[in-house]
Amino acid sequence: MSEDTLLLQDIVSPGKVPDATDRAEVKSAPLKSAQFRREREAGWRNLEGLLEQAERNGLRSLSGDALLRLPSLYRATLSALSVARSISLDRNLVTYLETLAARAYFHIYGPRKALSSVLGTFLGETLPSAIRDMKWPILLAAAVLLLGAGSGFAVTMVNQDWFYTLVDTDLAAGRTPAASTESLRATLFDPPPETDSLAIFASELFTHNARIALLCFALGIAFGIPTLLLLFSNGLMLGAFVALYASRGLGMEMLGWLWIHGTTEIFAIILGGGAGCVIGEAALFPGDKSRVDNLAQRGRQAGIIALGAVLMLFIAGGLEGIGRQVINDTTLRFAIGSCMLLGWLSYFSFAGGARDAAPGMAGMRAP
Amino acid sequence: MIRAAPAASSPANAALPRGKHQIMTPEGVPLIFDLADAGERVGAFLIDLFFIVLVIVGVVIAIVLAAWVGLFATPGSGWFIAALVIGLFLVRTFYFAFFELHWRGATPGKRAMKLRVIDRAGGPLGADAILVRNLMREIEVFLPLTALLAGQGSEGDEHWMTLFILAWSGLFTLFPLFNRDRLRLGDLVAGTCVIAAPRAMLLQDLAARSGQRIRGTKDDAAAPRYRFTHAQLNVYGVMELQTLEEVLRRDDIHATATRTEVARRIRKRIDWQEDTEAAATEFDAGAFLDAFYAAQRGRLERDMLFGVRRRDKNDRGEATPRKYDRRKQ
Repeated sequence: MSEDTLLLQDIVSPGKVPDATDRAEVKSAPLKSAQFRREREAGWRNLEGLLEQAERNGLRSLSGDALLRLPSLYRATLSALSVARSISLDRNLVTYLETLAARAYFHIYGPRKALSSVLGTFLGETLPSAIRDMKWPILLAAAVLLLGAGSGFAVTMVNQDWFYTLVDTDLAAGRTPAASTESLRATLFDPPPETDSLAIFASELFTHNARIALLCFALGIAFGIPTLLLLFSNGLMLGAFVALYASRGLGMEMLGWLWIHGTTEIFAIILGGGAGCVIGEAALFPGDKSRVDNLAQRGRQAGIIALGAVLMLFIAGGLEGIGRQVINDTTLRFAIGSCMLLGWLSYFSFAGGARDAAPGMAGMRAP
Repeated sequence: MIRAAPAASSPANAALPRGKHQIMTPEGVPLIFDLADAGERVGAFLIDLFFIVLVIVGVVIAIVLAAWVGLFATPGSGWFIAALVIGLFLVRTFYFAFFELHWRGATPGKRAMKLRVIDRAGGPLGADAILVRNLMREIEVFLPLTALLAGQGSEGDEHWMTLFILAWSGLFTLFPLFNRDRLRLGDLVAGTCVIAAPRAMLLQDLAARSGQRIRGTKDDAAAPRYRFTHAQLNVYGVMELQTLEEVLRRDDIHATATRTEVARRIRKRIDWQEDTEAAATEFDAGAFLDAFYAAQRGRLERDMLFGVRRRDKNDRGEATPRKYDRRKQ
């Protein structure tokens, strides 16, 4: 501690003033903080006026000149706030500057992009590169789903009674081991009804599946466990259905029936599950960041994938609700389904690849 | 897409009082916000839910009316219904995200309750963050709602999970009550938080007001009517000063009475005497407080410039005890 600071301390420390000055009257001098305020108040009022207009009618209602002034007024206010905190004890002034800077901050750093441009970059670049970044969690989700399907298939092939355990009766809608082979075949090749009701069917399929995908994503927050369970149980049901038809010699027809929309739909569910795994992984293994910060960063990427899954399910709904009902030829069903699969794979692998070399995807760990 | 990691904001927040959230602006000046409390957020959500239900009920009524008129007999009406089904899904899923994207982090409900979504670390609020925080509502709101409405897993495919889901969803929904930034799960995953949109008016500078009063009187060339010694200004600290500020800014019906009482207590505490008997009889509590406020603020602000901030009347500078220890020896 130097002597200088000691001296200063003597002069200004409260209650330590020597007796002689103690009784002396304090000369009234203009306050520095009041002067500070007088000099800058016009700028603050100016900013306040602009903000009021922007809050009422949107930023676009401001003139070009006002828009140019906004950032510099914001920065001036922010620096005034910083100064006021250290020189002024006028609480109203500090609170006012605090709120004024915050209101300006919302406008300067709020979301500003138009929805259309967000969607454009989303499809062209954000979504495919997010999926490439997250390929391991997505592969894990796929593996769990396939494992479920394999197990469901195996146990139902061995003993058909397992079907009742694995598949909900409502969902089966009569497609049980008790049904005759002919009626099972009929469920695969419905006579096409009018396209009108097919559209309703398709839209209902879409909303139902989109909910499942979003559920898979959101449940990932519980360390990914419910997501994986949901994937596994859906796989079990899938396997049980395939086994039921395969045991009646309808295996290929069943696969065709599934393939035409399944390559899109199940792919999308897997993406939703993969997004859930990403969140679960971020919560379980924060790495060198704090758990909360890590979740925030990875969660945003996962949300992009979940939205992509919803878009895919929209297409899958069309394929399932309309395409599958209208096209009754197994070969054609396989062809369409395979084309979709190839299309998705190449889109996710190659689209928006230019920026893929950017750093940020390094350090990805498999869960 | 924003790849930059949100800056670790937790250490800076450790010293903040409850219910506040501090962000570091990109300019390097910290801003402190009031977090939205649970009641405000529930209120905002209920308003938004009301709008969503309103849309859904409106669409259902439209469909019923259309069926009654006989619209569905015409071809092509199936497509119309399909569009409605998808439209309802979009409204339910993207209502919040749409408004938060367009209204800078506020939905109609949040606007009504004066709330806002911000990036927790202080960066720009990205479209991806808005999307994620609202997609998570699927398990916070719609899952428990569906589980409650549907009862015993009539959806079919998650029958055996119903119980598990109900237990978990309660936990998810109540999550904001269990963390200091009052984060929903969606906020947690998106790196956002919800704050009370600040608004304050710049009122008159009280110190300047007392100056005007002095100049307004006849003896303006002379020293001000109420003067204080150093010892008298050594009694109070910042907290008392700002309480006094509050008292001086009040203008309800009890304000004058309060000021008279406060002036009496201050006079007693700092042992303030009128110069003459005559002056004592025409003692003006308001003017006295104004003058005392200005003098006290001047004193404390000057101390602050020297690096001493006296928190309250009990703060005797113990914040720097080592210096005093040395002096005593």
